[in-house]
Amino acid sequence: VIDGTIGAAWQGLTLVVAWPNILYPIAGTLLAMMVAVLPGLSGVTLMALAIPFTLGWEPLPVVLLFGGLVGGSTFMGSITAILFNIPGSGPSAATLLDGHPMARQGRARTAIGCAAFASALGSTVGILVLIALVPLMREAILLFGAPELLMVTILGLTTIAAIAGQAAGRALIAAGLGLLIASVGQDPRTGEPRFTLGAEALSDGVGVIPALLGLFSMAEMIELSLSGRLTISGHAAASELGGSVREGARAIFTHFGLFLRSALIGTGVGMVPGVGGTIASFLAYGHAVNSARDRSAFGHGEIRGVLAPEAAHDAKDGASLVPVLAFGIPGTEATAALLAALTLHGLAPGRDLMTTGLPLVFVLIWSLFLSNWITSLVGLLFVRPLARLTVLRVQVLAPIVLVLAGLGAFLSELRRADIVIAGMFGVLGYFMKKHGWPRVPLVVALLVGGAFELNLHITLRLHALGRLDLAGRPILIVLSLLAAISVAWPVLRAWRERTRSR
Amino acid sequence: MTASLWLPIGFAVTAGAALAASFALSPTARLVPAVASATMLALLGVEIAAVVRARRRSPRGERTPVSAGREAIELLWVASLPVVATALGLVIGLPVFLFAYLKLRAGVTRWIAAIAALVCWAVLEIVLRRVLGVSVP
Repeated sequence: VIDGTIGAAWQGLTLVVAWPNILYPIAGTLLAMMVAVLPGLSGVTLMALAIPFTLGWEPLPVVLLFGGLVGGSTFMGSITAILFNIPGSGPSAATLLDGHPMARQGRARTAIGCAAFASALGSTVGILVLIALVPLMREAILLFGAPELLMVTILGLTTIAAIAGQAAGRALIAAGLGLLIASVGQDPRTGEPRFTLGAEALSDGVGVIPALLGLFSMAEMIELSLSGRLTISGHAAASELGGSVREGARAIFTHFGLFLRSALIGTGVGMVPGVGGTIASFLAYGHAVNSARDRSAFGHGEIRGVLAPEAAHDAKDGASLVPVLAFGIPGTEATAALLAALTLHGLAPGRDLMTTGLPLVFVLIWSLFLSNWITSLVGLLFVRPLARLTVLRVQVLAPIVLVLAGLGAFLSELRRADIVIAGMFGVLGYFMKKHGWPRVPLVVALLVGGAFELNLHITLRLHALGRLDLAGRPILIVLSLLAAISVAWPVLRAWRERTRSR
Repeated sequence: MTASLWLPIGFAVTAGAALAASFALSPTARLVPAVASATMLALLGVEIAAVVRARRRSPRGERTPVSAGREAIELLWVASLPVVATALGLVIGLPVFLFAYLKLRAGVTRWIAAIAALVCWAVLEIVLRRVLGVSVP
């Protein structure tokens, strides 16, 4: 297994660096950087837009491009967090606590330099862990039958809900809605139409592409348009930069222990579906504060407060691919879009992808690795022009993205109805975001709904035939227990908080 | 976080309609949508009750003085909202059911379903506004 993995890793690397293949991750990274630097937008908006436009491509360039898109969007949110006190993405909110005070003290370059190198090196840790886990994932996936895969899907959905904290109920409701939407169309076994209302456009079900475009691209643009901001960041001009990049990079080696621990926190958190970079960043920030002898500088421009969340956030990227590649359970918006792109190109995660498709898995891993480094280096070199993008006018950006999203929805199946469906998801996504309803469980349930139903019916059939021997399936028992715990956890936590407050 | 009732009510109507309409399907095809919508309705009951209780508090977190009997009746109403939503969802589910069996014209069915959805939503809002004194959103 290890020989096969090393061979696939080498083959993947040669494919990534070959000409003209290398252009795809570079182009993907640069595009993702330009979008991710805009506050409120993320690489997911771009990934959702890219899926329909790459439908006719071969799987290799798609994997190369999406590796770049995933990696390119991670670090850029930190630039706006440091310069404008506006987190470009959720995880950057931890960076701004100390990053923006550093910028106000005239040390913006130091903060950005530290963030850039911490994120590049942190992602390297995450990717090394992912590579080390590939042989294990290959072995593990062979032990999984339909009942185990069913339970992994349930566990993925319940974990996302458990992590949502006080919004656990909302996360489960959103997952239920996703499953309902996934069941629209023809029943996969009986062929009878389900919830189609006699509409031909719904006979094949609700497309994943219009749903993704609506929930993420259109919803963000609706929110941006209604926010009343003239420019994306709300600032009229880009700010001035001071400090030294070298000093920022040196801080990583001065606090190498903290860097490594933060990267490992990010890696561990990344492997759990639904946790996401925000929790990884804040956990690492909390660790940096708690492990410091003198905590008084935190919140007032302490470089360790920039280093720790950045290392954790980027280390999470590689690790978050583990549940996606092995079981097809995406845990974040970006991995959900990545999974949609992979499955639409016939690269269904699981046994086949981890055996015969292993070189392509490594193409994705190396592409992500390359992209993370390009992002940090280009981000450092072009921080001033990139910061200027944040003063782009909303009136210019919103119509362009909305038109592209509508066009993308149409191109996915060449159906006009998909534009309407994307628009409906856009409105739903906007209201869900506005009122604090998580969108990720809905998308994840929509993506895994088909596999969930298939595995459920196979499991029920096995049970009916008396071939579901629970005693001989310890993995199934463990997964069931974990799913039960993840459902019970938010209830227990709420009960404990209530009794404590009394 | 804005505590709005529009989304939970919308989801309850959708889930109610899906649950009602799923009875027109074969047992195999109905399993996942029926379980998903029933779970949604149960969780939405808790969610709507939480929002309504939060709105009963003043901005300073104090409870608005109401009699214990009235509060019990109100909470009972709130807890039964998903059941009301399911019953109303039948109105939406019915055209789908009829379509499956009587093969109505698709366009007619869609219009009936859309109008029925609006009626359900309006009825739920009236229930909340008049009976519970809760404004939506």
